[in-house]
Amino acid sequence: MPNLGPFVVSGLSTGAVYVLAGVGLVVLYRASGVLNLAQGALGALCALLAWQIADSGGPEWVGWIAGIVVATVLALFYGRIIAPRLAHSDPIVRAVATLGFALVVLGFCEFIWGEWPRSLRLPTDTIGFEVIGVRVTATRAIAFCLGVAVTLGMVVFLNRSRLGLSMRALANDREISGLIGVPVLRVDAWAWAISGVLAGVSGIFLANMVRLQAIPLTYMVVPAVAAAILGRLTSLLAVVVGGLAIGVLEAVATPFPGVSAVRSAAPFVFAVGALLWYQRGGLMLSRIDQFRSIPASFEAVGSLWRQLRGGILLALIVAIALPQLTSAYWLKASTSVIIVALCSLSVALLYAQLGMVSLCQYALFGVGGWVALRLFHAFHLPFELNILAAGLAASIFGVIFGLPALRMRGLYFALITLMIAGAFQIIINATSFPDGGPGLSGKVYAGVRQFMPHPPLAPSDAAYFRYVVVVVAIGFALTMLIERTRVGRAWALIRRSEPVAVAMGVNIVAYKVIAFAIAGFLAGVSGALMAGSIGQLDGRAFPASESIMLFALTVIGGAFHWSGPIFAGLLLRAVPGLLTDWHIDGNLAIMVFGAGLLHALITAPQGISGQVVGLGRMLSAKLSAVMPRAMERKL
Amino acid sequence: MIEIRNLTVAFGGVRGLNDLSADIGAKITGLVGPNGAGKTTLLNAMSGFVRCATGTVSVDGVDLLRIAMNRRAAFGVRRTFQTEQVVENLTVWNNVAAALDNLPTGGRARRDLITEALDYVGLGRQAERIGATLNASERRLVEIARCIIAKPRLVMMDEPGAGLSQSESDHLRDVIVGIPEFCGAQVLLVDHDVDLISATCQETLVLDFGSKIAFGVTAEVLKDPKVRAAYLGTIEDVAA
Repeated sequence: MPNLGPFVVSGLSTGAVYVLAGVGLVVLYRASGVLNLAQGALGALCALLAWQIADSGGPEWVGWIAGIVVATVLALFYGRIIAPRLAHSDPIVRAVATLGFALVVLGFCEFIWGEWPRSLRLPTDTIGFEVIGVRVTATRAIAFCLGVAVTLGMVVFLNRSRLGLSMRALANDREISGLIGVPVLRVDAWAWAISGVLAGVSGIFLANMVRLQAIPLTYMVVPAVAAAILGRLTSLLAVVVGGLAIGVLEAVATPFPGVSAVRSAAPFVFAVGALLWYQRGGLMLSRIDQFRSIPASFEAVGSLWRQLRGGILLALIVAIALPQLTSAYWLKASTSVIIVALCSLSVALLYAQLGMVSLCQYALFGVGGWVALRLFHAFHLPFELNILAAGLAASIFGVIFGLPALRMRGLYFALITLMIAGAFQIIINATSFPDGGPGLSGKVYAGVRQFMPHPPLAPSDAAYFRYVVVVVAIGFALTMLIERTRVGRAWALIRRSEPVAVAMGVNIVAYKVIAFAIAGFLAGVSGALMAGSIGQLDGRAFPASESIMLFALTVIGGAFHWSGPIFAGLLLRAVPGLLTDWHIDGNLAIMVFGAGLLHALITAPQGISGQVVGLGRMLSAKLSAVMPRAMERKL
Repeated sequence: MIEIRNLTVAFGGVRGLNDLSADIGAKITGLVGPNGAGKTTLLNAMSGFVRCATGTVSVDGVDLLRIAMNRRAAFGVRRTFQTEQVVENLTVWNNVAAALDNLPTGGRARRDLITEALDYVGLGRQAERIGATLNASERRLVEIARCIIAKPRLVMMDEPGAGLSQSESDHLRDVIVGIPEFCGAQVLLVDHDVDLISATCQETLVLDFGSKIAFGVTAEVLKDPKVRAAYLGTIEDVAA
């Protein structure tokens, strides 16, 4: 048994910083109803600014203050300018919108500072003292004291001060609070300011204790969210217990070789445990008619053929013409576009049919790709069987991933999938993603990686492109077919309102499981197609950020029409290539996508596809007005 | 026949329903009372959305509270909500089909059942319209069609008449009056519109603060001084 003392001490201090961040999340969520997933990104920006000022020769304290002020101002900006536009939306939409904000901030950090790991040293690092035989730096001691003090201060503030009373009133009911004279926007602004300060402070500490890099710091929101979930997004004291426990568990696992590599999955374990505990009482229905913000599709679920014929025509033209027209590079890129479109369809299915936000579909894509590769290397199965097996495996995982939040409201599903995406990345890194070696578990230690060839039906890149178009088109058609069966009708009822669905006899849990399974299947199949395109997959290809981008771009592309996921595929896989061609920094695209997500959620819920389809309708209406006869015959 | 026995629903210290007992045997029964009287709570208890602290409800001799909440529709307990709940991107036909999906058809063709229900409420020619294009009255009728299809035992309606014009109200009243004959179900109607209640309900149950303050033939109940007091306040209240 190793001496755990030092790990407990360092875990307590890291945990205290999670507590700081978690308290910021909970105070804001209670007052404004927004779960700010951009908190980590704001912390990263604050820490990088502090580093920059110190690095340029400025006094350190100026850097800290400047960083915290900027984080606070940005939080206020979002809270005052952008968040009110979504004030009447579902909590999921409001939380997901902050992901857009996070992408903008993260893109900016990466654009300015790049990915080099830096370290943010604090003067208190060199001061230290001994506690029960363990050396503690003053930084860690301060972090711990601050975490505890801030929480206690917040509890007193919320319970004793007039502003705290107003915040609790807002948490209870915004509209009634406004009616009885609580200055809603001002109280809201205070909550955002408090969360901004806490984001900045926790960012500085984490940059010092963990590392100063934009992406990991952005993801530091995950343990804070886990701590907040432990307190059901409302209890501050549960946040303290949760944050400290997560910090200690992560640290204590360090000296044990078996679990050390996966210790960063601790927040996930805690959150899943808490969610399972909370839903032991059974199904928790969302309140009837609470929000109407995840919009319904803009057209009736009508004749399948009418809606599909345009798509089939497009697929045929693309499959025949595109390989003749483009270079080898763009043919590969186009193949990726089509494959990613299928994965985006799985996100769109959950979002448009059930109003659920899945932030882990790219992990399922990875599961599918991995299963296809391993089955090929182990058994040399035909590619088509591999695709099916990959789809089935991913659909099983999709159901398992959905289980913890199955009986909870949608916000928890979004949060749990965010954590799954993070945990998946950690596990893949820890197990070094077996790929390239022979056999089922095949790892390649030294020597050449084995590739999976294109299927015999489509040996060349051009033929494989056509193959992919056909498979993906079948996937789209089947999905749209399912939406027209009793399954689709049950989904429509659930999205309309869960109590109504129950009152009409729908088994909500069962139909959600069906949706997870189908969405997982689509993601798995697309992963297998990607494996068939590249021939191998890299563990680094499935970071959690890709899942978030996939969701953002699916909303931007438009989740309610079959063309939306194709726009998403183009944005995700064609635009980066174009930017490289034009020598534009890809981080600018991240910022634009983040802003695009906000724009789509606030003003264009049908996304690009909605705009395009609307434009098409308008043109055809104009056309039919000009030459009514010709159009009539055509229809 | 609906037998409610000693039904109590508690929200913390507040009693949404307080030891309520009533035998509801009329074809159409009104459920009235001032705001917060417990009308919707009673409907929610029968739907299974709120847990009952004590008491039983039996419908046609079957203990309703023991049936899982998503099986009550198939058993025959249907309802509408205060706010309309038509699915906007499904057609009228599919809105009704979505309800029928989870109900026993009794061996009859789905198409016939849906057609009958839509014809009955007067939406037979509107079957292919999209939910989003329907007006308030049409939405109410779609909801009623969803409730009366495939042999219901009890149809509960929560303020169906709110916000309708006079001619729409008249049509709605005719539809409600005909439900028992159309499908054999009892109707429990919550509404504030005394004219609608008197025109449709043989019996009326009046609640106030979760307790029964009157129950009986509608015309008599509405004349009851206790009922008038609950709605309008009393002279004594003003004096005190």
